[in-house]
Amino acid sequence: MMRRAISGAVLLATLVAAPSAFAFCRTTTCDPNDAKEHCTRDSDNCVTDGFPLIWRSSCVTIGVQKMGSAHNGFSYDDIADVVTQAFGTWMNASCGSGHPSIDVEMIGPIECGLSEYNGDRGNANIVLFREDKWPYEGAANAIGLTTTRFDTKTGDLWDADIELNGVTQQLSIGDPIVADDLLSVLTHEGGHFLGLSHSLDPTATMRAVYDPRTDGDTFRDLAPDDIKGICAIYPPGRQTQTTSCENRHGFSSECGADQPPPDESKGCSLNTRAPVTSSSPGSYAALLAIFGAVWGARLARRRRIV
Amino acid sequence: MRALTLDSLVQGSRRILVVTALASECHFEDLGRRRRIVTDTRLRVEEGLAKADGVESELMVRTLGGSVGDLGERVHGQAQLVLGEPCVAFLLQGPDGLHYVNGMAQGHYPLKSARRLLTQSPDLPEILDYQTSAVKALVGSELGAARDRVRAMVKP
Repeated sequence: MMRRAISGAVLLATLVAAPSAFAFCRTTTCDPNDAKEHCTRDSDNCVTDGFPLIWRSSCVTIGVQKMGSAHNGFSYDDIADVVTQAFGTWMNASCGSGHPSIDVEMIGPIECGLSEYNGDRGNANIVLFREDKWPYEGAANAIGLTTTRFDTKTGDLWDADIELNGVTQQLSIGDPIVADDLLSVLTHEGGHFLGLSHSLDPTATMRAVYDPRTDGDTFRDLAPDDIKGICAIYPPGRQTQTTSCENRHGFSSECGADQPPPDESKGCSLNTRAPVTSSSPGSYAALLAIFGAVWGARLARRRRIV
Repeated sequence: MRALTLDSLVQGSRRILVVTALASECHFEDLGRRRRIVTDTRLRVEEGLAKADGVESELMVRTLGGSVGDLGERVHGQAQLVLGEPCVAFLLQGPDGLHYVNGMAQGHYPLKSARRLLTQSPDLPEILDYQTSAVKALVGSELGAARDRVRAMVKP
């Protein structure tokens, strides 16, 4: 996919000519949903306590659950294409001197159909449709929910999943928009995935209020406020701790319950933190060969979004 | 999130109350076949706007997300019940007996200023069909006016 050309000059002119009364908000470790944390907010309604959430690496993967959405008639490929497009919009933002210093790479179909974080085995960041039961009381009319998991001491993002309601909600792909537009929904949820909260800027894709009848496809693109937000989190030239795309505790397409327990792993799963149990040089060579083959297969399945 | 109209919010709620958060506690819970972090908030009931028959002086409301140890879990669009802050809450009662905010942040309206104006929940999710929403209908109303509106909608 080609990076969309938004010149720094045009962006600067836009920002100067039409200053917004509000600014983007970053999600932080302070949980305003937890009354005892006493999170304070500024005039932009942004939480000012805690550490801002961020993917520390310059690369993160996302996968799509392999079953797609029977309810909506979407195949895995249909959804993967829209996910690629939605995250591509964020990655293509022009930060003046470059683009956001994070790559989101599409990894192959994911077996696991649940949103979860495994503290002792492999993980995957997943876009999935819940089609059997939408399990969240009080959220029956939710189209999508993004859950981010993070280190409360640093704000380091560890895992993020986007769940879409395939039980009661109808979505559409492409033009014309005949139901709720999947690309609009995923572009907005992608902002949460990357560390943004809702914005009060009425033009922002991260605003809370959207009406497809009046707002059309405006959620498919970014407004200057969104661009400022993504560039603030991931400025070009950011010094990253790593360039690895690896998930925390390694990547696994399988749900945690379907993975071998860590102490029983034989080193052949995609959980790269599995212990090496043999010390002979021949065994090391064999393990390295297996690891290389697995890693090569993973790279072949990955698709860079930018 | 699809907008709830005021009528659907009123009809779909088990309780419609003015409440104040007293305390909260986060823990893991089996939800949707997975362990997830939830926050249970103890609320003091200040006033019943509607559907308040038999309500106790305190009740527990569960929302998604929270922190346990080093792990934080955030689900955008939740009602944010701030300690000591009164709010109007439209509540469901789940099969587990716990209460949940109906429509997530769409069912939560913090009360501000001496006039007790209903305000928008801070993390209101992306709402489709805003023009017909309860949020549009209620935000900016004084509590007394909101009370009259809600009560007029309650079907016997």
